Amino acid sequence: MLRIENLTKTYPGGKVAVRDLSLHVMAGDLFGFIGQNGAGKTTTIKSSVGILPFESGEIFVDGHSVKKDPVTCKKLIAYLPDNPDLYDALTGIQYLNFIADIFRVSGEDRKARVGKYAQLLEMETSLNTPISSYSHGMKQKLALISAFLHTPKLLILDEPFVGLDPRAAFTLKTVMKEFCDQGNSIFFSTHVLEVAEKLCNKIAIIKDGEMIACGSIDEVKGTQSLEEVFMELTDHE
Amino acid sequence: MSNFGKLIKVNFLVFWGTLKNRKKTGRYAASGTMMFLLIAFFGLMMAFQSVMQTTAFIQEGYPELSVFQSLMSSLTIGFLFGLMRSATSPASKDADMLLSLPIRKIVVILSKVVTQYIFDGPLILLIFIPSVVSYYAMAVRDPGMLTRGLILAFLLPLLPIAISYLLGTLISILREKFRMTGILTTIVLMLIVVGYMFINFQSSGLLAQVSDGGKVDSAAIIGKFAPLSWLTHSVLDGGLLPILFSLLMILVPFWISMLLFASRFGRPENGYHSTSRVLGFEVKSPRMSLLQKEVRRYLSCTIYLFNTAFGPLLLIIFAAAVAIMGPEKIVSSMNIPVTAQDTIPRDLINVLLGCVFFFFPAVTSTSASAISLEGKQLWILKVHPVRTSDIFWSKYMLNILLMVPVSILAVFAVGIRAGMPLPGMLGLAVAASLLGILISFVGLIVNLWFPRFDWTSETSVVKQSMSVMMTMLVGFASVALPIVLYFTLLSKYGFNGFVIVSICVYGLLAAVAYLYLNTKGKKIFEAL
Repeated sequence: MLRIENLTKTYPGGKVAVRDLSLHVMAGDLFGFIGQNGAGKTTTIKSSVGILPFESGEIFVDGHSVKKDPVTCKKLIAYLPDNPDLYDALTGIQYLNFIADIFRVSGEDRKARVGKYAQLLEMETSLNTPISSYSHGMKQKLALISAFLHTPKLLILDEPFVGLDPRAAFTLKTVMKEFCDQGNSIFFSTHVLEVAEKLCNKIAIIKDGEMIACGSIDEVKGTQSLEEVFMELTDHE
Repeated sequence: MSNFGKLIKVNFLVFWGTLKNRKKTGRYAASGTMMFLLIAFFGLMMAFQSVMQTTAFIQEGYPELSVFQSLMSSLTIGFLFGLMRSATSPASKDADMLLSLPIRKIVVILSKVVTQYIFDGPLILLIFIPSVVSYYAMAVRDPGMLTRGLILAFLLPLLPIAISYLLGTLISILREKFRMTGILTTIVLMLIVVGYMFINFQSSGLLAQVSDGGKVDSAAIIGKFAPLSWLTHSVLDGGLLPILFSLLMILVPFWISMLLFASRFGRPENGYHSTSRVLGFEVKSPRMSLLQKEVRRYLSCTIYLFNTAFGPLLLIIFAAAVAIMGPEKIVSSMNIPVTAQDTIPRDLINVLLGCVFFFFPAVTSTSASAISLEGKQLWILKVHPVRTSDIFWSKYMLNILLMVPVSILAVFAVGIRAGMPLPGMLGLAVAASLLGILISFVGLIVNLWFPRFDWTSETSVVKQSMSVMMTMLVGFASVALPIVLYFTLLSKYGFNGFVIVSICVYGLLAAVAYLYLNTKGKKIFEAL
């Protein structure tokens, strides 16, 4: 579903954020991407969804190149940033309608999906209110509802649990599992190692822009806890 | 260093840091330097004009009017500063952080006010102090007058601060109570500005009489508007009552505004909250949805609306003025020198009216800040399957919808009143529309060259950005081009020649701009 091949991304000024990174997210995978602050997680994610251009390597979504065919790739993806800045001038429902229009979701479908996810995330009473008055968590929830509007095949989430209340975090974990059980895929970054350990079937660990471990959760952690493995692998000498 | 000093210092460091962050490339360094030079040039020009004006009034025998006039100019600038700042929320982004520090709240508030004084005050001082000093040096050698004038000069910048905090508080209260406060606020602000312009226009008319060598009653001019009269007399005569009224007029609103600012500082601004569960699901095409988003953003942002609705608004006022007063009176008020004729030729009247039609669409453009206003929300357009050409379309279409229909209606309203020939009138409508379209494209192109996404207040993008200033300059050049061509080469072809050259110039430039936007422009946007 998502194939990253030898991705290298250098920022102006010469800082190499990601170096020769490759990974493969298959259909049905719930793929966790972990690393320290500044390791290159967000850069990899932003390159995958078409926000950041990259110099070398290739990224494919369901076989389509992000570089050559970005619009087709974007139709298959839903992305949730770590800090979702949404249009403050719109109300929640106006924003959802805007996203649904972009993906050409029919009136019936958008009504059903907004209803379902707004209820799950307890947002029904806030959708007619301007986004400018939303808290961080509410914006996060609204961005999540918008992510499910067009039934994407691949969800790319950057720190999706930050700012969510415990009930919403639990709901999100349930929804994520259901989504992957239907044959779709999720690629997400997180700092919460317990969540990654319990939720994911595959894990990649990145350090200073380079992949230092990648595989199924059992392959990566072996008999240790994920936290122990992470501390060992990312330990500075 | 005291806490107060540290806070002032950090405010400047933040300002300097913002400038430095923008200097990532030579282009931004050049734009920053250019902005600084423009402001410095403007300030020095105002100071020079104050001195020249005082000299002229002294020569005409009305030295006291020089102080009155410079007071009026200072208040105008201050008033505009105040309005500009009031359109943005009075709450500071760093309020939570500052209030959590072991510093008294009054010190934090004072540091904010003093910083604003340091930024806004110099321009007002540059206008007022030279005229007071010139009046002292050339007309009345009274040290008392000079002292009073200098004290007033340093008090004047408190007025715009008071206006900005008072109106800003009012606007933030409206935001909490009503859903679409953008339009309401803008209408209120525009009415205030139009009212102020009216007062200013009346006084300027009387002052123009003086400069034309006419006899006027200077006491009547000064006494026409009580607040201005108090301020002027407090400097000129030093009477107890004018001084008292002037101090009350400046210090009372300032004090009230400080109390309001302090009471709301750090308080979270709760937007309008609806509890309605009735959700609307209207399906639209991606293009129309993008345009609707642009319109909603436009209507919700007071400073954006206020700054760019002035072009069409002034065009409507101009059309109404021509319809009521007649074109001859309007054109003759432009002080056009006409040789060997008692009346201005009909063709020249039509050409001059055409120039006015071109001027208004050229000075305001929503598209000049449309890309920058995406700010931190740019990711939404980048990650969704939207064609760049559709994004551009929604952004320039907003400006076209705002400017072109008003231009066409104004051309026909004025054209019929002025007795313009129908082909000329139609041609002028086409030319004005093409210019509106051209400026919409140009604004977007310039904004692609000079985008700015790191803003914390829309004001810095809508009013103070390089792209807006550059677009305005290109707008002036676009207005001038057919006029220069007409008066240098084509005047023998009359009004029709002017119309044809305007259509050709604007049509050609709009086509080139459209092509650029959809080729190079797309690449620039995709690389943002």
